[in-house]
Amino acid sequence: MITLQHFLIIGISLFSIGLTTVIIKKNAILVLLGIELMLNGANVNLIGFSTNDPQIQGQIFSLFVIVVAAAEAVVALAIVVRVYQYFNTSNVDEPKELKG
Amino acid sequence: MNWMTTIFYFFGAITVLSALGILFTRNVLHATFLLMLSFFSVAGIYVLGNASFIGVTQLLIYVGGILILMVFGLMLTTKLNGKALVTENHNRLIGVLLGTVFFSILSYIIIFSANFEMLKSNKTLPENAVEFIGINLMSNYLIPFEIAAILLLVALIGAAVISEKRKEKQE
Amino acid sequence: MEYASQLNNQLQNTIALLSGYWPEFIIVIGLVVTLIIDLIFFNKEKNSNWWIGFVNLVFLILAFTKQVDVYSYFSNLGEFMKLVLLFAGVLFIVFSLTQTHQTKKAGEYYIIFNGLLIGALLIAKSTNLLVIYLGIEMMSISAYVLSAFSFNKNSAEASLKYLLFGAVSSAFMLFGMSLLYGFTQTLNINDFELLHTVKVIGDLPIKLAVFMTMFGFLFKIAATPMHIWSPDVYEATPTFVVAAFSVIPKLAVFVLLFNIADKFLVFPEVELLLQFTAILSLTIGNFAALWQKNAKRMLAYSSIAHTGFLLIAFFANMQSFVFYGLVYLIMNFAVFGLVKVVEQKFSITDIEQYIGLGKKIPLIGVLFVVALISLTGLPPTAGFTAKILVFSGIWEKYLTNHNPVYLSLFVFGLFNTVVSLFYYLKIPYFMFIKKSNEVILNEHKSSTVLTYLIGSLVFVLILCFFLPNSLMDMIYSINFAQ
Repeated sequence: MITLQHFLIIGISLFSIGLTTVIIKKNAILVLLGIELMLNGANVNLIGFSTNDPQIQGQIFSLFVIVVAAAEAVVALAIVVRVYQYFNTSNVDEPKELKG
Repeated sequence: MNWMTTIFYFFGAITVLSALGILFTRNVLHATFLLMLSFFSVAGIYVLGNASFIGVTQLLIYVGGILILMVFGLMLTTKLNGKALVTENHNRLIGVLLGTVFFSILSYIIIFSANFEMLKSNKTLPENAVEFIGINLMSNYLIPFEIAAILLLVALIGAAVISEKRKEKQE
Repeated sequence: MEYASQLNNQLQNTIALLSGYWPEFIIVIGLVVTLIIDLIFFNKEKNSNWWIGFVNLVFLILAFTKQVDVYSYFSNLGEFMKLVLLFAGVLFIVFSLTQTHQTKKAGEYYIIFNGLLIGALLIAKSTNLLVIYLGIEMMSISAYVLSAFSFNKNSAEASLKYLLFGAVSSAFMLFGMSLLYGFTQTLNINDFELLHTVKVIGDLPIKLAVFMTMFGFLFKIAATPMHIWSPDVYEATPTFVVAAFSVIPKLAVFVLLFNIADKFLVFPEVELLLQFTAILSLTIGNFAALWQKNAKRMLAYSSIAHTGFLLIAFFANMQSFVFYGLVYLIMNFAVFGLVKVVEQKFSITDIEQYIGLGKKIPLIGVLFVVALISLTGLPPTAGFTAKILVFSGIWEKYLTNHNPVYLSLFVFGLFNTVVSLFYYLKIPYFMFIKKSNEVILNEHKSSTVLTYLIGSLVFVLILCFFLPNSLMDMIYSINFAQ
């Protein structure tokens, strides 16, 4: 039988790997991939927990998370494309117009 | 160990290993494909967790939608000159350190110090989850459902207005 | 067929629930109407920008009046603050209407602002984790888009930074929420029995879940460890949008904190985290503001410091929070409006360039002085009354339970009020006192309507100092028992 802990360990791994990706990658799109990994980690948790819930609220929550992730990814990519048009780079550390 | 657990371990291993692969590869396109593999096996995990509808949605939206979008984004933001698209890393030490610390803290607290025995309920899950989700989306979850619709509309308009090429000269 | 009757019940419940969502519903209609008008008249009609703004204003005022109805049914904090948020929305649109010829992409501008407002209203109302998550995401996604609305290099960079920080913090919040759901088996915060859950699951996991969720909330109010995005965003974003950013999401998330307080603050650690954040935001916000050259950047740090004050008010009592929040709304809109007037007239935003402006535009100079005095919290302005209320509230709290943390909140608050004097008065100093060689600045026309609007806001600030009673009566009429 697959226990809850199995789901949780995968959720935690995905979340931590996503966090590491966000911190160490320079390319903005890879940072976005890291954020998607973190969201998926949370989603695996939700699915795992909803195996104990007769109302399966976790499954419905995760459905909405997927929708929000799609919306966020669309806006994020639009902004990255815009940044690329101005700065000719998609690395997150190179635009340095704003300081203080 | 029955066959369900075996398949779960198989999918879990693919998920985590390909996610780790994203960390180690320098090629951006490889990273995207590794993420695709990872999300594919996450969908498998969902199916094993009695959430086949979420699994299919994961395949359709993540693998079929978001990742394709990411690949398009990659093409639009790189000069294609025949070379492989590589990216550099920074803050490597802090990142790995923070990631490991997070992993150990979370897994210590959640897996080992939490007592999940009481959570187990004998109530049965709905037999037909798809029907259950469908009816609930239209009744109990009607307000979140409508909010999601507006959210998508706003995101669509926002993305269009940001990425649109403007005619006037930019400073 | 018991399933069918059960479904019927569910549907009846949902329909009954919907009547509380009229204001949001009206705003959504306004959003769609705007979209259609924009599609039909875009670039065809000369005054299309003005019309779009006007239609939005009408719908927002409709939503406001509807909300007055809703408030008369449920007179609790959430519904009252929804009125305040809608008022901020109306102010924003009226301000934007004075600039119609300059607004780029007016249709999309108002649509996305409406998205931000709907998100904020939902957060202020709901105690369901799913609705809170969707509301916060709606607010954030609209905010990412709006921060790119200057359509230049800086704003692209600012919105990228905002988006990356924001998305990571939402991911943390979501992870925390998933754990909260798992431990309590419900999405409704009102059903949480965290102390009971502690006995079942264990102490650490619950606290971890609450902390991670709080992390996301604190990001949205730009409290200190999570404030790094805000100066960049404030500097590069259109000024009116900044005024909305500094008020609407902040107040909405504070109401959320009030709504969940009796469930989450059962742990002393969470309370301590919030108090520590308050002190840190105050200190770092005020001291960083001392070194800023750009007026908008300085106001960004000032609004971080005000987050600290709002957190102190959160611990003092609800009445002082509502009063402080209202006054904060009015003075922030006034001061950002003034920055916009100067920016428009002379195209400058650096404080040092404000030199000698007091003689050229005395009216605006005087308004600036009053608004900044109010932000500092000195008489004769409503800022003073608000600070007095907060400080007396926290002092009473200290006297009743002798917790040294309340005393330190009190002391840090007073100390930081003094510090803030130095940077707020920098602008009047440059405008009126500092002598300089005549610098010739190109003068453009600016909207006189806007100046009068700001004048009336400043007048309200002074009025609330001399006659705070009517406002206080209104605030005390709120049913705080919920």
